[in-house]
Amino acid sequence: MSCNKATDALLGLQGDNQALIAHRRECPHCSQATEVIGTLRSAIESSAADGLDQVARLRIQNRVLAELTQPPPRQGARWALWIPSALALVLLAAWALWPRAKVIGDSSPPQQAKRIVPPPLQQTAPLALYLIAGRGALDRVSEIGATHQVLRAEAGQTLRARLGATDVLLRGPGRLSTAASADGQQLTLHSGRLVVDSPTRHDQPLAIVAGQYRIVIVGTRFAVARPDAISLTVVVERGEVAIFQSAEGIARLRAGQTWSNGNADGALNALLERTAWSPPASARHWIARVSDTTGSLYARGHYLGEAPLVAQLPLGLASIDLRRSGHARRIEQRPLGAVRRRALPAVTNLRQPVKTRRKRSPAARTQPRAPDVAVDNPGKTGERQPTRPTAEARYRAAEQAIARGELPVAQRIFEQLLDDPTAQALWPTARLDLARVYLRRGDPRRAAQLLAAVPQGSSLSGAAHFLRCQAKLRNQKHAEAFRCLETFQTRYPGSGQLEQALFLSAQLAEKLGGCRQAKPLIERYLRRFAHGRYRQRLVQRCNAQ
Amino acid sequence: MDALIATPLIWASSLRAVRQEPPASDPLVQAARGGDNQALEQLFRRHADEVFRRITRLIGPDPDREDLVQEVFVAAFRGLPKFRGEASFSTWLYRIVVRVAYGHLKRRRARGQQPLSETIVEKIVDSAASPEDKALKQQELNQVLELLDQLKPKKRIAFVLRVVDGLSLPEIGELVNATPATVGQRVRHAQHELQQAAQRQKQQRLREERR
Repeated sequence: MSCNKATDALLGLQGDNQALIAHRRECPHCSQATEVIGTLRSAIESSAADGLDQVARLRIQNRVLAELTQPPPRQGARWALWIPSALALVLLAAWALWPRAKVIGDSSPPQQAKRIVPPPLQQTAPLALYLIAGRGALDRVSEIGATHQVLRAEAGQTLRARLGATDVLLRGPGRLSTAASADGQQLTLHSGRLVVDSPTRHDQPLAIVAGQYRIVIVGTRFAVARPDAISLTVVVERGEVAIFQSAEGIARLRAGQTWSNGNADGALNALLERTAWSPPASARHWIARVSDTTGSLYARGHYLGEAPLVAQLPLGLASIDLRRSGHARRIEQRPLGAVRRRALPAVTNLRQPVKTRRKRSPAARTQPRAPDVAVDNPGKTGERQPTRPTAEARYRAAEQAIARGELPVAQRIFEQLLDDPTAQALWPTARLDLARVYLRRGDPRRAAQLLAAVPQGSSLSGAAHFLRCQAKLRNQKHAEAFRCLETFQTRYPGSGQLEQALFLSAQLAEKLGGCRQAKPLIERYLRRFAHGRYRQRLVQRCNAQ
Repeated sequence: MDALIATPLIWASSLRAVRQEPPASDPLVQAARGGDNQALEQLFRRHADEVFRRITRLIGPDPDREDLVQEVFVAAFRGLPKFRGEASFSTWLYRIVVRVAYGHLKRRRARGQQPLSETIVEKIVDSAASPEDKALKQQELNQVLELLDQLKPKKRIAFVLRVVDGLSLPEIGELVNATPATVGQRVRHAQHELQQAAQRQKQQRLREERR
């Protein structure tokens, strides 16, 4: 029996029966309720027991009749009070509901963001690819439209790409990505050796970006080597080459000159001599048609150079259909058109232990036999001690781990490298790479700590600055990240991360101040990178609103 | 206590009996509609006491009750041309009483609580009782009225109409322009709030006695 039912019965809201009456008497809560209601009822009734006395009744009657003789109050008088109240209410509601743009430091009235019309795509030089040396070498060529491509050459392979009149040769192992910008075509050398032959200065300049350096081609034949993340060598055979770091030009090389920021790569000269080459006549008809067969990895309108997924793909053509989120929906992967892949030779260099029985000398036979015990120090027993990989090899292993997407492995290797005094030369780049790994693993705090150790003014300070901005972004410090990105764009206008920085700035501006605030930044991005990889995302997003 | 609870039901039956009078057939109402002052006076005399009692039950012993009676009758006599005679005159009048009482309670609540004058409370309490009983009854009445004043006007009216006047939920709903379910909820909430307030009052009294 619930007290609610009993109370309802007491109030006459639901049926009353003997059980409920009994409950009300027994339950202290209900009996108290009964008592309260009874008291209230008796008090109210007693207060209202008496009616009006004669005098009062007569007084009220006279007043009523007197009032009836007067005209009733006009409705207008009531409306006169209501109209201003209603108007005030409407104004208040309009003020509260009026859409207000979140404006950063701008008090001007909100305006509808105008539709952003990106400049038309410029005709860029088509890219033709040849695999001219190494496993599966062939003379076939493909021509690919002006999209972002990533070219990978395996060890022993040589890829030749033709961008219009410019001949680019990538010697494996190496990775090269291409992108079109408002300034013209741009190649980014991630690793490996590259020979560029630009016989005439064409209208659209070609730039090679290698880390902090940007090499602008002015009609020449030269070679670039980037054996690791910091070393760079440039050898010019013909014409002139200008090397820029950030916005500052640091070297201008003429024919026969070599420039290096460390130890010069001696193999480049030989490479230049060896690779004097012209496309075979049999391949000419391939250049004319847009084919889809040979030697490239690309995703339409998207840059995939840093994606581990792309790094894992073998040499060949892969078309990756991306979702709006940027995740791959479908990958169509084909090996090189006519390449007959030979099976890799079975690993046979693993030494099997050979049991040899040495004859003991007669003198030794008289000695007691040494007990068979495990030896903790194998060096003393004469066993071969495994050789420790060099710092560079470990660094490469970490880079490969990143490419495979094995971030914890890469993190461990980089951390070991930073603890190893013999790898001191690699510490600056290892710090940056480790910071990147931390960021990708969602630990911006440790990344920021690591980046604080990168000195200002060094060749890596630009990259470190950008990573610091990313760390702030990940820490949800949006305003700080925005300021950081703005500073980055001012200080490092020639950086390879400029495009991403511009994109992030525009995105943040949109987040903080709406499309109206983001519009100048989007336009700035489009002026600088007309065919940039974030173009669609920026334009569509704001035009949709 | 059970006897006390049973009384409103008698009240309710008497009200229903009044309500069952033939509606527009009352010649007094017809004459009043025609503007006959005599008829108006007679109608006033017939219903004034009842209106006064109902107002007292709804708003308590308020000094403004006489003004409210006047307001009710002025509104009723002015609205007589609109009275279609579908319900009895007393039912129609009761609806006006409820509306006027509700308006008054709202205004009073907006102004803030005002303690009742002792003279009114003394008037209500039986004069034949002994001084000690009189003091106790006065105190009890004051406490009850304080409790009722804590309720919101809608809940108070629904509670009084249900518990004191003994009207059914549809009848109350008709008077206050609400569904029976809504009225039921108001009554339940009012009872709950009153019980809690009574408990608080009791505890406060105990604390004061301990001091």
